Amino acid sequence: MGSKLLLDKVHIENIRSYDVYRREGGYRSVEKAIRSMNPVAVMEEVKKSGLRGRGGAGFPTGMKWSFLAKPEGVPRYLVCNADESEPGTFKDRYLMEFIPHLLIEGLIVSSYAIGSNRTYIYIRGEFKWIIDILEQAITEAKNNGWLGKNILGSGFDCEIYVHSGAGAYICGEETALLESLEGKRGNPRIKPPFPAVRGLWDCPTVVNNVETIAAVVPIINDGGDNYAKIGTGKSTGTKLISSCGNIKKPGVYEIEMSISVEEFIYSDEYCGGIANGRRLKACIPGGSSVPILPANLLLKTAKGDSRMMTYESLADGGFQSGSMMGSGGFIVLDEDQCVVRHTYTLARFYRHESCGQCSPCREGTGWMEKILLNIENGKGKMSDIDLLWDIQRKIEGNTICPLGDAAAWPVAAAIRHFRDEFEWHITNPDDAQRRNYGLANYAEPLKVVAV
Amino acid sequence: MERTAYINDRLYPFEEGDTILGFVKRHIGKEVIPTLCDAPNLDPFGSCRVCSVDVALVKNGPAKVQASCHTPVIAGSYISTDSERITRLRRNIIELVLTDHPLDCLTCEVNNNCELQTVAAKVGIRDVRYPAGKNHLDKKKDLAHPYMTSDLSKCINCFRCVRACDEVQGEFVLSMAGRGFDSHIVKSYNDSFFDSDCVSCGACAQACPTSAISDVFESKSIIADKKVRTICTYCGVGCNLDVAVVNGKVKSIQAPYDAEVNEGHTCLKGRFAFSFYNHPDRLRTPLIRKNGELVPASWEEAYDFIVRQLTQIKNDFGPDYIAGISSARCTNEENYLMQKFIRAVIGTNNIDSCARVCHSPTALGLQRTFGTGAATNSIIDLEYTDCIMVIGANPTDAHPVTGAKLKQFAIKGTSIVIDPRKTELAKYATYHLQLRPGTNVAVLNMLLYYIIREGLEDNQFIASRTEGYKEFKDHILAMDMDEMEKISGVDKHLARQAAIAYASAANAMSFHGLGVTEHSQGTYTVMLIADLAMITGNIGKPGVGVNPLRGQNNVQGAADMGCQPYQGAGYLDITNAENHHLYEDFYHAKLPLHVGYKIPQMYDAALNGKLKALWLMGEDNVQTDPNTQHVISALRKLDLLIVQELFMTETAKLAHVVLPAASFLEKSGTFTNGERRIQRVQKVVEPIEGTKVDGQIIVDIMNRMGYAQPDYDPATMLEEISKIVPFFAGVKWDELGENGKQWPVLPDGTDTETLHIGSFKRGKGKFQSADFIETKEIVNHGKEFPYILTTNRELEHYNCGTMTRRTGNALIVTDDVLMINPADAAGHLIREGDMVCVISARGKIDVKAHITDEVKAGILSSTFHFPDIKMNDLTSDISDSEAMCPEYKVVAVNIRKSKGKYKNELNKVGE
Ligand SMILES: Cc1cc2nc3c(=O)[nH]c(=O)nc-3n(C[C@H](O)[C@H](O)[C@H](O)COP(=O)(O)O)c2cc1C
Ligand code: SF4
Ligand code: SF4
Ligand code: SF4
Ligand code: SF4
Ligand code: FES
Repeated sequence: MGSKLLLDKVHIENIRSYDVYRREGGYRSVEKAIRSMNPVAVMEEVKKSGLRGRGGAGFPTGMKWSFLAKPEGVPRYLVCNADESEPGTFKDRYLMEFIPHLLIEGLIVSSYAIGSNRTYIYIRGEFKWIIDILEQAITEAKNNGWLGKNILGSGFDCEIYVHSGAGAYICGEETALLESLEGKRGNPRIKPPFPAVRGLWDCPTVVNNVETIAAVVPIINDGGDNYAKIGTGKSTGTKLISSCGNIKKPGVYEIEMSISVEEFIYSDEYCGGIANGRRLKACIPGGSSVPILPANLLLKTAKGDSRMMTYESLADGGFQSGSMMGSGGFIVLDEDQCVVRHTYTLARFYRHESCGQCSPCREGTGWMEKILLNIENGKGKMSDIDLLWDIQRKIEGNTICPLGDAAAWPVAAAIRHFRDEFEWHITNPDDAQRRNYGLANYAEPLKVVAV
Repeated sequence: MERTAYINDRLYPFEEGDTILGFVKRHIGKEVIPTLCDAPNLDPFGSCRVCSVDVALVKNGPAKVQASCHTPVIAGSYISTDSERITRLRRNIIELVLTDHPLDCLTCEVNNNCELQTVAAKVGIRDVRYPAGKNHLDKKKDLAHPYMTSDLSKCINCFRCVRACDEVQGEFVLSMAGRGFDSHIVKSYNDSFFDSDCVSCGACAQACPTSAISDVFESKSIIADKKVRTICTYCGVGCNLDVAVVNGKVKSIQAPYDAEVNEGHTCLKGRFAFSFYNHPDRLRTPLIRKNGELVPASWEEAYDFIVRQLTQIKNDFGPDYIAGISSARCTNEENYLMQKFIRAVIGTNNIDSCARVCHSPTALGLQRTFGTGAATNSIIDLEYTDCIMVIGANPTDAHPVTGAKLKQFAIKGTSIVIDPRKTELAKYATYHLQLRPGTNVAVLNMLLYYIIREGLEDNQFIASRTEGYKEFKDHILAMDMDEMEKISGVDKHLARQAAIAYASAANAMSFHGLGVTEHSQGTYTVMLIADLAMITGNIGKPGVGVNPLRGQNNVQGAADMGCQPYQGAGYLDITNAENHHLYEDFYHAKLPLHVGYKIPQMYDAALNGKLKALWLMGEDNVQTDPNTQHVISALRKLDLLIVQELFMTETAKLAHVVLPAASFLEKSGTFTNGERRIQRVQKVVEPIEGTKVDGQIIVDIMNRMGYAQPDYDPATMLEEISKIVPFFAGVKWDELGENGKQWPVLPDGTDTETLHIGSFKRGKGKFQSADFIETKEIVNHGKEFPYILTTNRELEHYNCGTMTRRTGNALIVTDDVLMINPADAAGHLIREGDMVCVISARGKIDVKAHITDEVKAGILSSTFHFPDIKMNDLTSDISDSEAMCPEYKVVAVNIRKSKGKYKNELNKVGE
């Protein structure tokens, strides 16, 4: 069994309460950081750990912190991104719901490192009950002197505020999140300037994912070097994966980033294999925004290596034959699933969630949804596939924020890997209404063709 | 690294902060990269993405698509503006946009001037590949507003209107509601401009690249025979206007983006309120009073009549029985001519202008302290200042374009507002000192006191640049702050904080308006404002200074040109022998050495039989001067009252001769705005038939009275003026250019943004102290009339409304209202909209109540834009002790619910 750093204590009864959490060694990292380390040392430790952002982009966290501008007399902010609205991703929810103090503890240490005296948790509004849990944890932390003025007599002040979103996926994008936090419509900002220079209320700001912040706790407790020993290559430490779809044991798993995809799907420690005796058809390994992979390319890379649950291996082959770690939302599709319908569902989601600023995203997501619906309903034309391809090409890389990319990639990957299924829908409209295309040849290793 | 980068494989230098778009525009041309969401006066936004270009870090290396409008140039990068892939991308984006846009270009009002159409043509859209689908083409038009219109089926979601409303006007009316494909523009919470908080500035309409938001004049349509650039006539901001003319008539007005004063912005007066100019009410023929009635006459008859009468009065009584009142509405050249006529042809110094009733204390107060009675700095200085102080001014209504800039500043920066009303600016201010009207002197003394007490003076500046500080300081420190607090009603702690904020800002800039000058202590107040600037060293550099917000468009110019009884053109003291000779030589005429009458003295003289003839140019004194009954009796006593006007005003009705004059759209000349900027007013249309340009009328009379004066022409007039007004030395009509020049203009033509750099006009700046003295109005009448009435104005109307009431503005604001605090209203059982009778020692009026906490209890405020109201029946004839500017801003009154002719209405309300 792999080591667990975040969820190791999650099953202890009442770990949600402060007393139990503290008894189990909670808040040690705050003591250690504040008592024996200066903020730079904390940052160095995080750098050493090789921790990468768990929100989706995988940007090295220590480096992100070191980019923070530090002009005199201007406050700096740490904002925790708990908006978690990506379809298929529910790891942050699990962590906050069952072991809330881990996040609070991580936030205090990170705030100390960054120099943030006011730290915000921006949480999606639907998590109403978790807001209550977090508020409770903050109050307990405060009552026990971990928050407020002059923490542990160090002269460091810190308050944490929970701010609830109002139901927009786009508010998870860090600059839209900041706009929303400022009380404005959640439209992503143009970059540069980046939040590290001009973020919340125009002040230097770090935005980090819940899991990223939580990982700071074991890094400080055990040292960055020890953290870096877990995992492989540039994928250090453990990662929370929320897995769902046609598997026997959906749920949130903490894995060491050194196991294979195959192990993750089939071993009993994790997903336990495909449910109901069906066969694996495809998988989206990192949340709805990343490219879908057919079974053959999922378990093995195009080069024939076994694919690992790491940032590097999941991305191996680029978009031609690889995907991404993304936010760790692992969605498994069995042979009874229809890729066209599935792609349409995602397109509908992105059309609904586009903020509407950029013309390619605003108009393009609408058209992709419409065309996909036509194909799914048996009203498609062969030229529609090229049109779809063309639209997603216009969106990708040509927008203010990555939601445009996130909308384009699933469509691109679906066409790239499952073009025959789309064509079948168009040429056999009646059949397509009655049955699924099935496993076809996806279980066999495909030749990689450049598109 | 070197600041160069390649555009289409050629190397060019770029500047710090350049965006790719700016860089390419500068070197290759404006039209190279198509744009939709970018606009000249807005921050980059990056939403349309048609400005995308390819950027590679090495030659022929992998290129990334970047939106050029907001992406900074990378040194050494290779930018391709129209690679194959970029053109395809642009075409596809426009194609997507067009799927939700009506294809009725040929009948659209902006046909051939639509940015979408232009870009579509440029990227070469042939056909749209998408089947007809869900769209927004069925959106309803909004035509409810007198000026603003929208047809959001044409909206391309570029956010330019939203950003214009936020970034340019600061009104935050428009926003984008809904998400993604459902995004749509909303106006406040409504679907109509009329029901929203829109102030009709038109910025959104000008910004919108299509006709989705427009105006009733279709100002973005290209249908125009010509476009003429001129200057707005409605206030001292001096906005530049681009006027479109069709068939000899004004069609619409837009704001030029390259105008330094207004940078593509105006308020609704400048942009929309022009239709008065050919209103049927315009006077079209001279009128002469015969048998008690004004009857039409020819110009020759009128001229003969005037010349005969003036000559006779001059012969019978002497030149001092004749007086002239010039107009801050007219051009510099016309003002110059008016004073020249009165002085050189009539032979008296009885010349004054309506600057008397507004900013005469500013001129005097600043002359006494600095030596020059003009704004020390420029509006552009708002970019360099760290703190603004606004005293007795409501710029968002009275000086809207500057007001919008001040508001933008107040939203973000440190600001102090000293005003009895919670003005719009006060709502955003860091410190609002809500004083009792008439106590400016007390409050300013508090600020001075705390600056000295806190040791925040700029000792170096005081030592090197000023005099009289020692006595001044002692005088201030002897004051009792508790007493000042009691007098003004301003918490002394708040005053202290504001004083500290002003004094500790690196650069602090003050602005003041008529709430400073129209008081019995107006001049003293101005001097104290100057003291504040000097004591903190806020003079003689960018971002500081004392900056009067001029009421009328050419108040500055009227005074510069010598329309005051004690100073000639260029402010030279006419009682000084040397100056006297200079003027006599220049005018080739005998001139009197003694000072003439100021306006209030003219009325007194008329009543005493000491004044027989008065010539009024473009002023409705009966409406606008205080104590109406007094003014009317004075004018009635005259043997000859000549009125030059656009409309049959209350004053014109009393005249013996009425001369129909031309409006600003019908003549050329120069106006000088509040920041000393001399700008060209250019004739847009011919004067309507039967009217003449004011300047020409004066020239005609001068010639007929035997003084040879060439026909009115701004270029030759300016040449004459430049020879006598020192600070106009280098002003030449042909060299004023689009953006004018700020005086002093040196003989070589260089102009001046900031005054008093290095030294003051008068050498050293002079500290002048002043003690608070309660106005006689309160002393004499305060017991009997316990409320204080002050006056204010609405954005939509100009002064007594002669012009704006004859435009669509009258549909937006329909009548005058009296602001009254809820507590006072309750005490008199007055409800919103009730008629209230307001009584002063002089008279009474009825006005509609508007209950609001914008005024404190005990204070009332009313507008005076509609003639029915006769506000000046109430005002007193008390004036500023020094400059004789009337005290409009403090009237002791009492109130009650109206009876009499409002009884019926009252009963109805009671039911
Ligand atoms: C449309 C969109 C939605 C996103 N939603 C989330 C989210 O819910 N939670 C999150 O942590 N990051 C989300 N991100 C990523 C954030 O923008 C940002 O990269 C992240 O919070 C950085 O934290 P990290 O460095 O700790 O990963 C989203 C990005 C996009 C474009
Ligand atoms: S890409 Fe889409 S979601 Fe992101 S800013 Fe543009 S329109 Fe909004
Ligand atoms: S007219 Fe001016 S105030 Fe009105 S919505 Fe447009 S920009 Fe805003
Ligand atoms: S109304 Fe005009 S300016 Fe506003 S978003 Fe639509 S197209 Fe752009
Ligand atoms: S701000 Fe003044 S000058 Fe400018 S348009 Fe309005 S009234 Fe005219
Ligand atoms: S002009 Fe650059 S994105 Fe619109």
